[in-house]
Amino acid sequence: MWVRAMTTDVSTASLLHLDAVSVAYGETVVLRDLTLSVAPGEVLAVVGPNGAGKTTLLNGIVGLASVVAGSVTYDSRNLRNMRPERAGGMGIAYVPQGRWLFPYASGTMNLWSGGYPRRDRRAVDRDVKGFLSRWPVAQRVSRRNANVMSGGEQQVVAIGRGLVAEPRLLLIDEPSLGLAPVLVEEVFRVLTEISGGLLEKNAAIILVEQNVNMALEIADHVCVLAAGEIVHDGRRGELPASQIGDLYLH
Amino acid sequence: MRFFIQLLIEGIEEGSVYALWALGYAVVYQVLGLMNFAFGDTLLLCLYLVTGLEVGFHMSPWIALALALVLAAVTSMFVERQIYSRFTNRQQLEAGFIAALACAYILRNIATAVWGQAPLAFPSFFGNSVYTIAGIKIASDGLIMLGIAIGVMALFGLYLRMTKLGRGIVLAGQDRQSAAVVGIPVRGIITVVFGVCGVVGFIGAALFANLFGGLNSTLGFYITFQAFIAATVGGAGSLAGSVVGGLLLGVIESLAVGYVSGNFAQALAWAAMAVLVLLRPRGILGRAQVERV
Ligand SMILES: Nc1ncnc2c1ncn2[C@@H]1O[C@H](COP(=O)(O)OP(=O)(O)O)[C@@H](O)[C@H]1O
Ligand SMILES: [Mg+2]
Repeated sequence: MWVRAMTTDVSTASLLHLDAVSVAYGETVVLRDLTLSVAPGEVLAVVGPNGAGKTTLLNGIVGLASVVAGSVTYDSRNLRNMRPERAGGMGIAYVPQGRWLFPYASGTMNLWSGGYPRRDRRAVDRDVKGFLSRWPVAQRVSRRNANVMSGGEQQVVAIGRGLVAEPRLLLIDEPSLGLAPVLVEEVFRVLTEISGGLLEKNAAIILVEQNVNMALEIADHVCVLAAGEIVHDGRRGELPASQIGDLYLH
Repeated sequence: MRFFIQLLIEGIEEGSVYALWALGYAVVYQVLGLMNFAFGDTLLLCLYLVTGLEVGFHMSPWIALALALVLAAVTSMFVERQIYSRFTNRQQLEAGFIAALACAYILRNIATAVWGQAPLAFPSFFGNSVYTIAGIKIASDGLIMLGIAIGVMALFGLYLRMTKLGRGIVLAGQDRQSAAVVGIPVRGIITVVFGVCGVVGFIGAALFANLFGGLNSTLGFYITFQAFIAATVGGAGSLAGSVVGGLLLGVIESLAVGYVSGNFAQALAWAAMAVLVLLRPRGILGRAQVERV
């Protein structure tokens, strides 16, 4: 009985709470019995080897993969198997692995698209301009189509698109994947600054990242995922980065 | 040379109408991936309504035209919601294509059941006068047709570029999954696309029927095929491509009529288009589609 009471307690304090969740693509169940929460003003880093199910976790939250068991609660609403296009309207922004920019739309238009669910169009335009003037990388590609941007430029625009959504929950999947080290640093500079701004507004962030050191610089909480299960979940500093790596390197 | 310019002008005039058809067809294809082969017959039914209301109810042809325009939007959206969505929601695009062919016949049969198999006259909306300038004959109704078609294309382009819904259509056409993820209501957008494409296509169909002064029951498939071919030649991923494809089709047809023979013009034009697609499989202005597993 009290276990149930505890979980209820946790879910009211958190912005997003997953309780005993299993996520599948069609018949293939990828994640089993996963429980985790993110509180407002908090960054949760999810790390783990390739194929662990990190992307599937985010897909399950936004409705791109199906939640076949358990419950997903966001802002005391049940998200289980919602349609992905509803996530934006609820303040959930997703920066997917591979970035998914609109290939034949300019940097500006890609940023603008992030604000689609918002009512106040002038505020969206202002946020787009603000992001462009703050980040020269984005400014350089404001008129260039996404399909001819470099990976780093695309990633910065993709993060900006998430920011323009004015999210209460921002999901970011492997922002450093496939980028040269200099660009990884640039992307993390953007991430650090925008996460600072978002956390001040009491939003929460889930950051999926292979680069454990970088992730730990931003995160409050770390969750290690391996083969569809959580093998470690704790506050930053409970385990040094090297040991987190050990948890899944062999 | 004069003869050539004459043919070129006529080709561009007719091509501008094909461009409208191609746009109506291509935007649906882009957003949904569905080959909407009921496109022309939806428009045909609405053209019959114009004549039917004018002749049967002595209605002003302009009011009949306005009613038919609304019907074009409503019928297109109805067919999408009630029939296509059952297939496309499950990504069954081939099945959806067959359903579209079936719909085409149903719509055509509704028209012929009400108004008969025989060709009908279509009201003339602008009287025609022919001017001769530097030895080239220019018909006013062709020019009016070209002007209206250009106007509609420009408005459609502005709508897609400047309005929130229009931008949503363009973005959903580039990557439907990404559109959903940023919160663009893709399901609703698809229905809107059918309505808008019905309107654009109908204006083209009415201009065409006005030019030729008549209707028959095969016009629906003709519109569909011309739209499909022009859009494919131009590049189905690009709206500018549809315009180019439509104009090209019009000009080639006109040259074939002028220099070869009216009997073979259609076949020659379509054969030329087939060769063009062979040379440029993605179409003249075509671009790669996003593929994601
Ligand atoms: N669309 C899909 N359909 C079926 N299985 C999938 C799909 N996407 C991923 N998987 C499988 O789910 C598992 C986890 O994948 P993923 O969540 O992408 O891992 P990660 O992001 O941690 O690298 C892998 O075994 C992968 O093969
Ligand atoms: Mg992944």
